[in-house]
Amino acid sequence: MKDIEFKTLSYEVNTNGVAVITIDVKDRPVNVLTVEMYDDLHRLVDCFKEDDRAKAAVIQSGKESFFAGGDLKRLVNMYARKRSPQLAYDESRLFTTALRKLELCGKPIAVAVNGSAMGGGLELVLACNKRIVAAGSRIYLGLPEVTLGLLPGGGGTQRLARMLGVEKACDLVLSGRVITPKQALELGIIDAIVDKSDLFKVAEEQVLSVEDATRPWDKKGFAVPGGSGLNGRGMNGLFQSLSRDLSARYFHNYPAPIAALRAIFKGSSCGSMDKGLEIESREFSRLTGLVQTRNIIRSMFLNKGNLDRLQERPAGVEPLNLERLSVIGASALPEHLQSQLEKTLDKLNCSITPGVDPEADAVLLFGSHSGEEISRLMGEMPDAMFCVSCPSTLEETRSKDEFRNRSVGFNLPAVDTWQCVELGTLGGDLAQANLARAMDLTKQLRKTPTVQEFSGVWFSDVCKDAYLAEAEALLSDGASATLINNSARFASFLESPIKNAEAAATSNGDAQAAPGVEDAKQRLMYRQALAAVQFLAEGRISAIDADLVSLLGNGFPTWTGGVLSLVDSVGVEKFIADCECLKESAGAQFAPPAWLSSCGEEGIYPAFVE
Amino acid sequence: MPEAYIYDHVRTPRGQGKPTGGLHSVTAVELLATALRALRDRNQLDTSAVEDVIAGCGSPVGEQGSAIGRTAVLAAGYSESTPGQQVHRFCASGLEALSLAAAKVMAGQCELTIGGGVETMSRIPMGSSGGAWYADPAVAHEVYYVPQGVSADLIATLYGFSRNDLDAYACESQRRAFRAQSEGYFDQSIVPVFDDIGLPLLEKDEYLRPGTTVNSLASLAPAFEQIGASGFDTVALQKYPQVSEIEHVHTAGNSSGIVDGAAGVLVGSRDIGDQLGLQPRARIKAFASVGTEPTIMLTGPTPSAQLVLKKAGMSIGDIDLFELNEAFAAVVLLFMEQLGVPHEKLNVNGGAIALGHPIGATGAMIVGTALDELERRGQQTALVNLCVGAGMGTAMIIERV
Repeated sequence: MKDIEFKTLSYEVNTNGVAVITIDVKDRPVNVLTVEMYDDLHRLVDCFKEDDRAKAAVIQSGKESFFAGGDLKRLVNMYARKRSPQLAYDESRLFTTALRKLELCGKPIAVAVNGSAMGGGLELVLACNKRIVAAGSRIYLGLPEVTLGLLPGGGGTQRLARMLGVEKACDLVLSGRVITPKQALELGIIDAIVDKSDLFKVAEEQVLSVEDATRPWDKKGFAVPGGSGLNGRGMNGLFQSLSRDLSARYFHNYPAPIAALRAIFKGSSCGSMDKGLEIESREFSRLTGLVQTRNIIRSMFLNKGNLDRLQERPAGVEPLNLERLSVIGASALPEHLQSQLEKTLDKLNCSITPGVDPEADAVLLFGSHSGEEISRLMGEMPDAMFCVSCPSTLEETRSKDEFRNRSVGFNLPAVDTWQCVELGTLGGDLAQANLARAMDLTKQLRKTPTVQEFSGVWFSDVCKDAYLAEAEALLSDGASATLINNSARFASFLESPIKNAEAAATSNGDAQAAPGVEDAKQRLMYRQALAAVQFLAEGRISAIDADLVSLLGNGFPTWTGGVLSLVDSVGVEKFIADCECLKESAGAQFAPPAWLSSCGEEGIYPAFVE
Repeated sequence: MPEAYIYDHVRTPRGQGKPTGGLHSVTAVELLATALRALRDRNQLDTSAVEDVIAGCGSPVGEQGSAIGRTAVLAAGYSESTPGQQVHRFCASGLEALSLAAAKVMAGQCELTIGGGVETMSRIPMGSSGGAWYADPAVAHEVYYVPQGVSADLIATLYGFSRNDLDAYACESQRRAFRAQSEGYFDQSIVPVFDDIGLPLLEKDEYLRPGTTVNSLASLAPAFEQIGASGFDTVALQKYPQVSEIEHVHTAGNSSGIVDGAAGVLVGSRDIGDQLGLQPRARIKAFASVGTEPTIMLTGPTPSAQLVLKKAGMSIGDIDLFELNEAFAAVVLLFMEQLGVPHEKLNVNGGAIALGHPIGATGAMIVGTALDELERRGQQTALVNLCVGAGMGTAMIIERV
């Protein structure tokens, strides 16, 4: 029989009569799900099924890792493609039907998992009769789709529920958490953990021992362990509490986890796996068209990933070789940052000195310092780059070439949840070099580096001030502090805008005219968005950096994709119209800047470029 | 349009809804059959004249499953020609069953019917029948489902009823119920329940706690604090963001009791009464159900009362006595506050806080309680009302003839 050519995998039959299928997606560092692979998988099954030489198959990876999952660059564009429900469904079926075909081909298939298997990668594993994983401390398995605004759309919700029972499947799928091979073995997701060198051999042995390739759920009389739907002891309570937990955690802003729960609820109670898969595909295809999903993937994965990989790092600058770090104004150093510094820099054999270290490579300068002090410190630490956080100190630093050539704005506030650093360029000949090295430092601190042109005030402070100012405005319009804080919470803001709600005075205006929860949500978001638009209009920050500061720093709701992604999601035209309405109902602070109208059809957000 | 008259009504005593309760050894069908037999015997009925038996039941599964109205007809030895059915409107199932029984008469499609209901909560726990409302994620999540105890606490928080307000109300309910029982006000309508060899099992309501004081109630733990903290409070606050936190003020002492019981009300046209020589005791003037916001769930009684009054062409002032099921004390306090109903006219013989609330039967039971009390006082009109799961209210107005 003639071997067929594939683009993403190879196929050959060995002397034991085992088809060896090696997945290796070209031009990608890791295996991801591409359209070519769907096609290959369908043709692969046809080929394997008819190949008389092969009585069983072993699937393995041609790369160091096993399978990373979905292709985020493709997924992020699904929203913009505005597909019809039918097309979205048809596209979402490609992977599902390929795996189903594999599962039903009649011959046993084992999978030899040599590295982490995530998302679609794990779904492929679940579709195989025998699942063998290599021992290794850095191997993880998981279905993290909900964290991307999606759900496992290749049968993962259905197979896991039928393998583990609804409760355990929900625990994994709804949280998206990853597990170790040992945990997977205990749960019954995989069959064995073996030494990497024995991986193929064991997989081959095990697959040849399979007498009946029919999966349990395709056999007559199969029942989901523990029950499914509302049939079974405790199922009412289980689904009731799962629905409750998602409502209480996501406040109905994140469509993915509840969609996954619906898929498991409705799909696992279908007596037919095929019907279950159809239910899952419908939920998946719907999610791929939602703006929240686009926003989460675009900001939290693609854009954040690019920044974390220092894609915007100015070229040609020597990497920062940090051996000695001095921290000045340490009383301002938050405890969590202290421990973070110790944890991360210890590994780099970097010393941290509270106070002056004459041989320091870099200085974290907190608090307010006069020009004289800066001059003295720079003299005492002649080789150090100064990372300055305080705006007044930065103004001082910016005013003299000798200062600014050795300095960069570096804002990492004392907030536990703050996950990014705002890097402020100060102008001058060495601004780019300092920026590059400050990015290196940020990466070493395991934070996301964001860039802005510093001119007097940090972007995050501008956003925060807008947030707090709007909360004040809502109070004076008659909304209670409780309503305002609840509105922020239920919009999924991380921080309450009114810290001391009991002391906050509400104006005794007309209670009927007081803003309601939806008004308050919109005003709290839009006010910040307008502040960000102003920053953007002045060319002081990019939309991507602005979004990531708002998400990773200010705790702006993740489902929006960030403060400017919000404007993009609403649409510039509608955003302007909304602001005009708010100007009438809430005040002049919502007057949309003229600049925004001039953005035209291209909007304010850069198209995602692959 | 023919009018529907109440000719008689009976109920079993309410037994504690737990394994030590007086009716625990009795199945739902036996309990309902007890009520049906009593109606037959008290009125010397030729049961073939009964054209439908409509039974409310809140958890129609297992022993209570499959059209228990018909099953009880067969178990009671009624004529095989008498059909039966079961209806469900959560806590108002028994009243809804009576409304439908009356509606059949008023529509001229039946002459004689029985509406009532049954619940053996000690044998079939509440919630046993499951349901999409609170367990299907596609529904429960989207309608912000919370358990009714959390809803009741939300009402108390939102309308400012303190724990002390609720406990004081509960105390008065206990006092009134005990007085009514002691004075024998319930006796004429209670049918004792006998065991299989004819020995009496229970002859009186047994849930009451005479001597209850505000102080004794104050020591009870909030019943819904834990379930609220599990996340349901947060679900509810999303619908009521003006509330900073829900105060968990309801306890086992100021909420309705879990009990076993059954009831039946004999309803018919004027003609059939004349034919059978039965004396009509009251006219069913109007009945109505409404839907309300489902998360707070239990605010139905005010709009259902307003609607049923409108249908009857009456106003609050025309009503002599009110019976509002004491599902939770806050529900009753809110009703009195919103409609300006004085406590002197409402639940004058106590209510479910003292006597218990056998879900499927209660509606029919409290119609009977109201009628007996109207007769005792020589008054004319009563409005009977219940708050209902998933955000509903069901009410009925009766008038003595």
